[in-house]
Amino acid sequence: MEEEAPIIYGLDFQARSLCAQYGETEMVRFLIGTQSLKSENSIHCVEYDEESVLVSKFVYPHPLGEIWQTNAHPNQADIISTVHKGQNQKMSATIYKMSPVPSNGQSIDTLDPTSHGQLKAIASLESSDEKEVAKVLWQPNDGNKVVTVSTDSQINLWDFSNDGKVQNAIFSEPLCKTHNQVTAANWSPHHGTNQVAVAMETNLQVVDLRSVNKGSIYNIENAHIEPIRDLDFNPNRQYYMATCGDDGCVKFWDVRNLSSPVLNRHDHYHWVWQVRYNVFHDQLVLSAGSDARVVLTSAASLSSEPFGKLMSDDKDNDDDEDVRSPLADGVITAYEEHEDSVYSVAWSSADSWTFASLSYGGRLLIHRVPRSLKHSILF
Amino acid sequence: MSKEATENDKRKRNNLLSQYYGITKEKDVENLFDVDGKHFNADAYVDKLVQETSLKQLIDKEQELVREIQSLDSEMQTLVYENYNKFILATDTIRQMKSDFKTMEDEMEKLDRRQQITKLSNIHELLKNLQFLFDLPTKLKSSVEEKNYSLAVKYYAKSEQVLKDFGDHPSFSGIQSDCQEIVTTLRKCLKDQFVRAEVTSRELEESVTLLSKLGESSTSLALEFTVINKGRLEKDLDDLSSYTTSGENNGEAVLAFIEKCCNTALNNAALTIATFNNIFPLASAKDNEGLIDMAVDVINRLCPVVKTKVVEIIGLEMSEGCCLSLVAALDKFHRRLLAVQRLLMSDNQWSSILITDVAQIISNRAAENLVVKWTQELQGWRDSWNNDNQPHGSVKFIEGALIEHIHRTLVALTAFVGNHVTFSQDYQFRQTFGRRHVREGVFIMSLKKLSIMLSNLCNATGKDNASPTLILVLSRVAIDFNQNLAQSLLSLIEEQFDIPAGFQGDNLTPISAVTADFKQASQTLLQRYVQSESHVLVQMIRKSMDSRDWLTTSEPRSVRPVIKRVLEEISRVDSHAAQLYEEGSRKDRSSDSSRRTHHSSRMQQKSSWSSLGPSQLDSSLLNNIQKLFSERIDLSGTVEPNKGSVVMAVIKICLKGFLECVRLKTFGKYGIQQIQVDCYYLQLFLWRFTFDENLVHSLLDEILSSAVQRCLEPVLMEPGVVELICER
Repeated sequence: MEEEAPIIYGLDFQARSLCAQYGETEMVRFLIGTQSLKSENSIHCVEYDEESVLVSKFVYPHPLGEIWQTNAHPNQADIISTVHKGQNQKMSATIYKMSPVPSNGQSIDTLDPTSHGQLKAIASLESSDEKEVAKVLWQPNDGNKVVTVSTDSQINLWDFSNDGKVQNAIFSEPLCKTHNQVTAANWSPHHGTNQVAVAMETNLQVVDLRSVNKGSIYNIENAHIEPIRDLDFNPNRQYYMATCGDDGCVKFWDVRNLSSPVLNRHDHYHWVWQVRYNVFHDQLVLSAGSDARVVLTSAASLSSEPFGKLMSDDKDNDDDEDVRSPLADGVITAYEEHEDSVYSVAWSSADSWTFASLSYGGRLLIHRVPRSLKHSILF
Repeated sequence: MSKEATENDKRKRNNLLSQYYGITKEKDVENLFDVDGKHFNADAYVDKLVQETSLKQLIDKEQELVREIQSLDSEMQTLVYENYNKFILATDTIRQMKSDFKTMEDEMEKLDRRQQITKLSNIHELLKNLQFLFDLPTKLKSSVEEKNYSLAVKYYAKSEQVLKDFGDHPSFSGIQSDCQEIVTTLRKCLKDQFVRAEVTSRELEESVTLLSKLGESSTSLALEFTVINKGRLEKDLDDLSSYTTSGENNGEAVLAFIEKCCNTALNNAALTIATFNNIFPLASAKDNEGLIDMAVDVINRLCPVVKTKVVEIIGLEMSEGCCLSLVAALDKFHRRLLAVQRLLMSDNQWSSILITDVAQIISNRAAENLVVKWTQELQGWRDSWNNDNQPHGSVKFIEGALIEHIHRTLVALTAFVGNHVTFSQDYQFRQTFGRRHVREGVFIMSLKKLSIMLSNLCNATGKDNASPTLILVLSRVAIDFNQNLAQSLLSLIEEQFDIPAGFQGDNLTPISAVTADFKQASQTLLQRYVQSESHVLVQMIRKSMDSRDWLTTSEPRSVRPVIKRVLEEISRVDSHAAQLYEEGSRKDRSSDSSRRTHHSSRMQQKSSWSSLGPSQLDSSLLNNIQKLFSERIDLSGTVEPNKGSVVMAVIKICLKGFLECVRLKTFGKYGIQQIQVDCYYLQLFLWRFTFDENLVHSLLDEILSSAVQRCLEPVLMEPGVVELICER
C-alpha cells in the first residue's frame, strides 16, 4: 500500500496525552497536553489543513502541572478535561473552558495571534476523600456527565450542565480490593451510555453506573497476561471492544462470550499504550506502542460493515469493478516514523481518514490512511 | 472230282467259320497266291510258279515247301496231344464234383437244425426283457429308496426307449405310468440333493449328471446351479460382513478373518467355478458367462467387505507385529484371490485395489497415531516439566522420543514392502506406497503437523502455558529437525521404501517445505521464549517500581535486590541458551541494531555519565542531547538462533520495560540516585552477555536520562560512590 509521508509537528516538551477536538466537526484539530515537571505545561491545539498541508497551532497554558490525560468534550469544542499532577504530586482532574476558540469551521489562524490562550478551570473533580484520579471520561454523545476513576478503582459520576455546573452524583466503592492500580478506563457509547469499563492491571471489569456498587456486569480475568493499557468500544457494534496491553497484543472481544478474544493481534514488539476504533469505519483500528510504532489494523471480520460499504443499487455502476474482495483482518500499515515510545493516537473528528500520533519526545505525526484503502472502503 | 468236292466242303466250312468269327471275304487276286491266305489256289499258284521262276528257284521252293509241310505236321500232332490231356482232366473234375455235392447236402441238413435253436434263444431273451420290464417299477423304487440314484437312472435309461415305443400297448402302459411316477420322485430327490445346502461337489456332480440323463436341459440346470451357488456365496458374504472378533490380538484376529474369507467365500467361489466346469463341460458360452458374472459380482462385493473388516479389526493400534500380521493376511488373500481370478479368467485389479486402499488407510492411521503420540508426549512434557531440567539433555531426550515414535511407525509400515510379500513385488504398488503413502502421507504430513504443534505450544495460555525453558528446548528441537533430523528421516524412508535418494519428481513435496516449517516454528518458539522470559523479568521490575515511593525513598545504600535477581535470571537465560545455541558473532548482531549509530565505548559512556554534574542537568537540554545521541531502538529484530541474539533480545525488552516504568514515576533526589546505582550495576554485569554493549549502554542511558527528566531534584551521585556501592 502506498504511504503518504506524515506531517510532523514537534513540541519542545515531552507529552503523552492527545485527543481530537470532538466539538469541531470541520477542521482537523487535535489537542495535546504536555508533560513536564519543570517547565510550564500547556495544551497545544494543532490544526492541520489538508489543502495547504500546513499545521497551525494555538497554545493554552496549563498552570496546574504536567498533563497525564487530555480529554475533549464530545460536542463542545471549548470544553476539555485533563488529569494532571501539580506541585503536590497528586493526580487530579479538572474541567476547563478554553478561550479563545474559533467558531465551528473557522481556522485557528483566524484567532488573533497576539492574544494568549487561556484555560479557565470550570470545575475541579475532587472527590471528598481526595483520591488520586487515574482517568476522566466524558459521557459519550452528549457529554452531560463525567466519570472520574481513581487509581484504586473508585468510580465517581458527575453531572455536568451546559452552564458549567458540576455536581457529584455517585460515589462508588472501589471495584477491586486488591492493590492493583487502574491502568485504563473507557465509557461505552451503547446501552444508554450506562456502562463503564475499568481495567486494573490484567483484569477488566464493566460496571453499570446505575448499580455501580452491585459489582460488575461482566469481567474478564486476565484479559492480557500483562497490564491492560487501554481499551475502546466499537462505536457501531454494541458487543465489541478492543483492549491492548504490555504483552504487545491488541485483543478484540465479543462481550457475550468472554472465554477468549474473537481476534488477537500480536503486531507490536513492546507495550501497546493505546487502541482506537475509527468512528466512521470501525474496521479500522489504530494502536500505538512503546516499540515506537503505530499500527493500523483491519478488524473487518468484526466490523459493522464487514464487506465494505454496501453496493448502491444503481445499475449503471454494474461494472466489473464490483468484484473487490473484502478487507482481510490484519495489519494494514505499520507506521515507523516515531523514534520514541508512542503513547497516544487519535482519529480526527472532522475527517475520518486522518489521524495523529504522539511520541514521548513531543513529536506529533499527522497521517492519512493509504488512499487505496480509503477507496476500497468507500467504493 | 472228289478232290474238288472236298475243296468245296472245305471252302463252305471256312466261310461258315469266317461268318461266325466275322471275317469278311476279300476277293483279292493277290491273295490267290498267298499260301497262308484264305483264297489260296494251289493250281494257280503252281502254274504261276512254273511259269515265272527258274528251275533252280523251283527246286528251292519245292524243298522249302517240303520243310514247311513237315514242320506243320509235327505241330499238329503236338496240339492233338495237348487237347486230349485237357479232356482227361475235365472228366476227373466232374467226377470230383459229384462226390462234393454229396457232402454239401449233408451240411445243409445240419444248418437247418441250428436255425431252430437260435430262434428259441431269441424268444428266451425277449421273455427275460419282459420280465425286467415287469420288475422295473419295483427295482426303481427300491434303488430310489436305497438312494442308489445312479442305478435307478441306469435301469430307467435301459427301458426308457422300450417303454416309449410300446407305451400305448395296454400291458406296458401300466408299467410306464408306474415308472414315470417313480422317476418323478427320483427327479425330485435329485433336485433336492442339488439344492441341499451341505451338498458336496461330488453329490452335486452326480445329481447334475443324472438329471441330465433324465432329460433335464443343461442350460436350465446351469442356471439353477448358478442361482443356488449365488445364494450360497451371498450367505458367505453376509457371514463375513457380520464377522465379529473375539477380542483377541488384532493381528491374529485379522489372520483369522482372512482365513475365514479364503475358506468360505473365496474357496466356494473357486469351487463353484471348478464344479461348473466339471459338470457342464459342454456348457454354452452364455451359461458360462452367467456364472462368471455371478462370481465376479460376488468378488466385487467381497473386496469392500474385506477392506472394511480388515481395517475395522486392525483398529488404531499400529504395532509392528500387527502390521506384519495384517500384511501376511492380505498377502494370503491376495494369492488366493489371484488363483480365483485365473479361474475366472478375469483381469480385474481387485486385490491390488484392495491392498492399495488398505495400505493407504493404514498409513493414514499410522500418521494420525503418530501425531497423537507426539501430541501426548508434548503435553506430557509441558505438564510435567521440571524447571531444573537441563536444556541440553532435554533436547536429546525429546528428540529421541519424537524420533522413536516415527521410527516405530516406519518400521511397522515396512511390513508392506517385505521381501516375502507377494503383492509388494508389484512395482506399481511399491512405488505408490513408498512415495504417496509413506513419504507424503506419513512423513511429510506428520512432520508438518509436528511443526504446527510446536508452534501452537507458544499460543497456549493459562494452565496450558508451557515453561519458557521447554519452549527454548523445543526451539532447538525444531532447528534440529530443520537442519538434519528431517533429512535423515527422509533418507531412511527413501532407503526403506525404494525411493531414489533425493528423488523430487512425481509431485513429491520437497523436503525444504518441511524444513522451512520447522525453521518457522523454531523462530516462533524462540521469539516466544524471549517473550516469556522477558515477561517475567519485566513484571519483576514493574512490581518493584510500583511498590516504592520514589519521591521520598531514602538514600541508596545498595543495589535493589530485584536488579540482582534480574541479572541472575538473565544469566540463567544465557546459560540455557548457551547449552543449545552457538555464541553468535558480533556481525550477526550488528544487523539487529543497524539503525542505531551509538558509537561510544563503555569507557566513554562511563565518562559521559560522570560529566553529567548536578548543575548541568537541564531537562530540555538533556532531552535534546538525548535526541541527538540515541536513535530509535529496534525491538522488532527477529531473534536469531544463536545465544547472543536470544539473550540480547531478552535484555532489550527488559530494559525497555524498565524505561517505561521509570517514565511513569516521579523521582526525588534519592530516587534518581537509586536508579543511577541500579543502572550502573546493570551496566557492570550486562556487558558480558552481549557483544553489543553499545545498545545496552544506550538503553541504560535512556533510563537514567528519563529518570532525570522525571526528577524534581535531579542530583546524581558521585561516580566513585556509585562504584563503591555496586562493588560491595
